[in-house]
Formats: sequence, structure tokens, C-alpha cells
Amino acid sequence: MEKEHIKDLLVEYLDGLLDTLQKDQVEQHLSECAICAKELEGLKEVMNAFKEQSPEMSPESLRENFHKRLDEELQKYHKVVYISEDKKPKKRTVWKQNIMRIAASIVLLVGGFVIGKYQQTDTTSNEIAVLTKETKSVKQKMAISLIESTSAGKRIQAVNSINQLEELDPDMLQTLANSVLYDNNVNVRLTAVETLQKFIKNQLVQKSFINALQTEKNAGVQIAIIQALANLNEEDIISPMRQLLNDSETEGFVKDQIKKIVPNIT
Amino acid sequence: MTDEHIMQKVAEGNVAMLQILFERYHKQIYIFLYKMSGDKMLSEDLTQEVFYRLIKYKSSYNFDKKFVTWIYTIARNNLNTHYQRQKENHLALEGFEHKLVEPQASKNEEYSHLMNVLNRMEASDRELLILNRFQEIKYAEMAEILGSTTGAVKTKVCRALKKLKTLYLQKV
Amino acid sequence: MKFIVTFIILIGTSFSLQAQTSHTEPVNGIQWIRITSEADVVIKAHDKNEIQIVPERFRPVSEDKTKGLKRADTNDTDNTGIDFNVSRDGSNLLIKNLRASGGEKTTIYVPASLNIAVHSENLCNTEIENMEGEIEVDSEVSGNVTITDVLGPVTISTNAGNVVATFKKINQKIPTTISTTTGEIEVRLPNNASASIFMASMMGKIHSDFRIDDPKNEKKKITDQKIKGVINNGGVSVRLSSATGNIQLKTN
Repeated sequence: MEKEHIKDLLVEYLDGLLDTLQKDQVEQHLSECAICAKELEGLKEVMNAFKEQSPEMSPESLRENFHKRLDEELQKYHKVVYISEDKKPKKRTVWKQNIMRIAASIVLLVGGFVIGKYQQTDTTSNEIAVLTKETKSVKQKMAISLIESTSAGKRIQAVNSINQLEELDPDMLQTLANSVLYDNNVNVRLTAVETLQKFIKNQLVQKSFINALQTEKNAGVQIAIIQALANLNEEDIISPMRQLLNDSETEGFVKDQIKKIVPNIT
Repeated sequence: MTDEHIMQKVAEGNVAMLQILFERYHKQIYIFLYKMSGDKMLSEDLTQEVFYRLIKYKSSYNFDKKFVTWIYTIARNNLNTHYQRQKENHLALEGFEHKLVEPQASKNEEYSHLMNVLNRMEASDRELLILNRFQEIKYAEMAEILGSTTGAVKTKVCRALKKLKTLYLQKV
Repeated sequence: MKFIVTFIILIGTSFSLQAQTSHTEPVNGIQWIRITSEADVVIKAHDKNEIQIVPERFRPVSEDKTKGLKRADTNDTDNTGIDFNVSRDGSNLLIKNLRASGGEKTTIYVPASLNIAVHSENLCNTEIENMEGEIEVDSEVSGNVTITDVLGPVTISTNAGNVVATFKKINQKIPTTISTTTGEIEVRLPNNASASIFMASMMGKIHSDFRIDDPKNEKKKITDQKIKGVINNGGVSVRLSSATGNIQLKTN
């Protein structure tokens, strides 16, 4: 093997990127050639210097500003979703009881804009700011662990923590809907369906449940989704239900459940 | 979930999922820009700008490309645009490779020997080394970011490392 | 000369035979052991900082018609000499049993503190004993799952397989969730375990010898098929559900 060729391979050799044949050739050559061996030592030293370089910190303001911008963006897409199903008188009392929570979630979505508006009453705005921060970090934590955690138990824990909140904003709903659709663990999907079913009037939730019905293979999760869809208009759900009913892979008791909920189905 | 899968969801309108990509990438993008420019404030602004652009141009993401190459392409473009705007004081990254890049790049007591040597190198070599060594970007991905081929990038990184080695060992 | 050669060959053979009876792997930096298997697996805790895979052979190796062949349906190669593929992925140690279902049981010894995830296919039964970390089992077809003397949390899903889980204690931080489609569930908790319980079976029966309190007085919602309440003043969420199977929650 030519000398120059060897030199070009030294970096990859140190990075462990060579195949066995090339590796053997390089080692063979190194044992015979003092110049290349010296070259290797020098490279090793400088490559180690990179590894020993202490990592820089990124400023925390980066994250804050990013979330501010993201929330502005989300505001373009959605409005706040409340747990109460009818949007009339009942909501007023919820409003009163939970004024801080709701204010916080609005601030959460609109970012600095609302804070600016509230600035006339100092104490209120401070409290809102604090609440915003707390809600936000809970939300972030939840969203991240829901998607990032490799532990199914921790993902279920994240879903349960959402279950305790009184109202959910759209990105939380979306995150949960993603778990229903994409999580690879049956129990996470099942828990997410149960948490979301009380928001079944929400279009996003309905849509993702109907989508999930078309892809879900686990009979237990299928049953949970079918039951959650039970109270909706027949015309919205009959098509995916029929598809499942006619699928030869569908379990008998799942078919029975469909027939119970949509008696006229064929 | 892969970066590409998440970005696809973002492109389809699920903007909230960008949080995940932010958590995965903001540190390394910031560090890349900081190591390239030596300017903390600038790097913070430019990193912010990278993620704003991800939001703004989300629907232009090409699913065939790896997300990591896309975000670095945006980061490099941002830095270049910045230098072009400041041409009278600073030199553009591209097409002006034989000069030192930054005033901050001159010898600085705060920097390690490695960083001082790196800052004395040509910008293009420095960029290769930062991407390959600090950021641990694979050769194939670097080729996409830099608009080159895997083979050419490998050779260039190799040469840059050799140059660095010579400079580095001189002063020890 | 001939004698020496034969001798060396003999030593070589005995070494390779020995190497084929089990496989050990260091676990430094590992948090999760992720096992995929179509044949029965037993996971037991031991004191060493390594894992040991010990296949138990029911048929003599000489009768094994697949000896020396590679499974055609997978890209994983046997890198242990015992029909297992072992690899690392970050802090995960991936263990793949390359044997087809039935006929063989493998015992894997693991440090007690590590987290275990088992993905069992076909008829693979899974047994886990004395582990102290998180446990996840996903039994895809009809394998049974038996978990003994663990601390939780446990996340199990089976299709037709039955689940028997006995806890020494129950982890209060992370919820425990067990679901089956048609399998039965039997869970044993210590008498003094605190938990918030939810049990549901669409067609099966639910039994318990725990006193399940109903702090929110939601009694009217509780039916034969759904039980919600707390034991010993409540605690971590324990959720057991089945579509058609029976569920039993018992004291130890």
C-alpha cells in the first residue's frame, strides 16, 4: 500500500471507521513505517485535544425566546380548548373558579402580548407571569417526556399528569393525540385514549381517534376507541367502524361492540 | 421518533412538536455558531433565527433529506448572510478563505490552545473541523451540508486536521 | 508432531464448546436491557455487574438441523455462539434470541437494578424474578407473563397470554399498568401497599380481597366491569384492564 494512501486513512483509522481489511493494512504499515507512526501520534494528540475541550453552555434565554415565538405561532392555528363541553353559561362559573389558570393558559399562548395588556395592575400581572412559567414548564416536561422517554412507565406517568389538568391547550391535545396514533406501547396508547375521551367533542381529538381506528391493531385499544366514539353522530363514525367490522383480522368481540354501538351497521 | 418524522409532523401543521427538535439541536447549533464566530451575542441571535426559519419555512422541508443537514444548512446560511451584511468590517465566509475571519479570532487568553490554533486557520478548514470534530457530523451528512461529495469532504477534513496538527504541535 | 496437533485441536474444540454453553456481556453504562424473543425467557437477578445468557437445550446439538445456518428472515447474526445477537445502542443493551419459538428456554442473569424490557413474539413465555428496576413486557401473541418479587413499576401488555405479577413493594413514582386482550390478570400486592386502583374488564369478572375505598364517592359509576378507588389511602396509579379476561387483585 502506498504511503500517501495510508496517511489519508489515519484519521478514519483513529475514528474506528475502517473495515477490518483496511484496518489490518494500516496496522501492518504502521508497524513498519516510523514516519507514519509518528504522524499517527501527532494526530492522536490533536484529536484528543478536541475531546478534552470543555463544552460551552448555551444561554437559557434561548429557550425562553424560542417558546415565546412558538406560542405566537400556535396562536395562529388554534384557540384554547376548555374541558366543559357546552360553551354557554356553565363556562362562566368555570371561568370564575379557575380564572388564574385560564388566564395563565391564555398568556401561555399569546406570550408577551397579553402580559403587556395586564401591566396596569402590577400584582396580577406578576402572578400571571409566575403561573405562566409554572404551567409552561409542566407542559414542556410532559410533552418532552411523552415523546422522548424510552420508558413506557414514564410516558404513562406523563399522560396521567395531564389527566389531572382541568383544561388542555391545543398543543397538549395534539401531543396526546400523537401518543394515541404513534406510541409503540399498547398501555401508553390505552391511557392516552382514556385521557382524551373526555375531549371527544374537539375536532382534533375526533379526527385522531378515527385515524387511529384505521391503523390500530390491538383489540383492547380498538375497544377503548370505539367506546369513546360511541356518543358521536352516527354519520361521522360509521365509515371507519364499517371498515373495522369487515376486516377479517378484527376480533369477534370487537365486532360485537361495534354492532352494539352502531346497530344499523352492515 | 426520528428527527425527520417529527419535522414531517411540524410541516403538516403540528408546530408544537418543534419543541422536541429545539431540545435536540439548539445547544449544538449555538456552539457551532459560537465556535465559528467567537461572538456569544451574535450566536444567540443567529441560533434564534435558525429556529424561526424552521417555523417559517417548515413546509419547504424535503423529507428525503436528513433533518440534521437541513438545520446546519440554515445555520450556515444565516452566518453567511450576517457576514455579507457586515462586509465592510468582516469578511464573508465564502470566497475569502485566506484571511483570518474575526477580530476575536486573534490570540485570546481565555481560549484553549486548540481554539487559538483553530482560530488562526482558514474559515473553511475551521468549519470542516468544527463540524467533524466538535459536532460529530458524519462525512456523508457534511457533504450534503457543504454541497460536496463524501469522498471530497473526507479528504478535506484529513488535510485540515494535518494542518491543524502542524500548527498545534509547533507551539506546545 | 501429530500428537501435538491433535492435542491443540482438542483444546481448541473444548474451548469453543465451552464458549457455546453461555455468553457474558459487561453492562457498564447500560440502563436498559431490551430483549426480543420467540422462545421462552427467564430473567433472574444476580450480584455481578454483567449479564449472563444461559440457554437450556432440550435437544442435543447434533440433532439440531439448523446448526451452522442463519435465520433467513432476519439480518441479525449470531455474535455470541449461542444463537443470540447482543448489541449496544446508547445506554440500551439489545439482546435478540435468534431461535425459533418452542423447544428451548433461556435464562438471562442480570444485575437487579437494571431496567428490563421484553418483547415476546409467538409462544414465548416470559418470567422475571427479583428485579428492582422498571419492567416492560409486550407479549404479542399468546405468551404468558409471570413477574415475581419485583418492586415496580411494571408495564405489561399481552394479547392472549395470562399475567401473574407479585410485588414485594410498589414503586410510588411511576405508574404500573397491565392490560390484556383475552388473557387473565392476577396481581398480588403487599397488604399495606398504597395505590390508586383502576380495574376494568368488558366481559370478565373482577375480584379483590383488598378494601377498595371510594374517596370521591363515585359509587354509582362503579359497576362489575369497572372499579375505581384507593387502597391504604391511595398512592401511585395501578391500572389493570382486559377486554374479555378476568382480573384478580390479591393481598400477598
